[in-house]
Amino acid sequence: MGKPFGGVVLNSAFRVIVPFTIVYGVYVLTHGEFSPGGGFQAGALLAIGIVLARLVQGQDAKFNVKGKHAVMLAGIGAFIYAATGFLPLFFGGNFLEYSCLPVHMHEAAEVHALGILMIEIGVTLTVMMTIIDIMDALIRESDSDE
Amino acid sequence: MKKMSAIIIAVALGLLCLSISCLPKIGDPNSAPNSYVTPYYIENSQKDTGSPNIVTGTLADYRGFDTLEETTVMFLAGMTAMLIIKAGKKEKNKAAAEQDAESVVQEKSAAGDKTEMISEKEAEK
Repeated sequence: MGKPFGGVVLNSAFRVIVPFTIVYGVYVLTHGEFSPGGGFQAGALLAIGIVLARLVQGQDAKFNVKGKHAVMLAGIGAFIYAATGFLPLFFGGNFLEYSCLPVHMHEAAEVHALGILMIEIGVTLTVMMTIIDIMDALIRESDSDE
Repeated sequence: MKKMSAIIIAVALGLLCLSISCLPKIGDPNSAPNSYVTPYYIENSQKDTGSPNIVTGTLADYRGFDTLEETTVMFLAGMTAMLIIKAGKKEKNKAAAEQDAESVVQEKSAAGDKTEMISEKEAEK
């Protein structure tokens, strides 16, 4: 994977496809409560952008997340989820009891929706960064073979 | 010891296969999960979780703990892949370095042209 695939067709296709996949990924994430979708799917969609950038433009693509940072961000995603779970414990609730989150809304169900959105963000970050992380590990392995 | 554990695993697997026939059939309306939990989720999901999507409500709210473990497993899988592949690379590098050192020693000790040629070839590689 030392050399990128490159080429006019791939470069322009990359520029057309990636913005749409990223917008669609964010849509799937934030709209996951109302329509099919959610954290796992959104993470896979968001990872496509960076995987494509790696494939088309090579290791030193501008639109990129390095392997080291990917592992860290995956951990941060899992931490966001766990922190959302632990937060209600300090406000008199059980683990992951969203109705005890320290936010005031008109309805109790809206607080639940907010809690769901928070954990979905954590899941998305973890899934996206794990995909990038595994791909980065495999690509670097093939680099050392050459 | 190995034989013993293999026998235990085989027996446990056999018991598992036998017990599968005792499980309720898929889609059986009278089975325990279908007669208590599922109707409750279908009726109260939107009221309880504030999300009109029952799947998301169940996944992230009723079964939030399960999804937390799923996310952790995902993170661990990524980390393990990274660690295994990186560790393999390090060992390979170490082996290559040892080979280089050996070839240098050979070069110093043996004055023959043949060993030098071989070590040069290795160095080129």
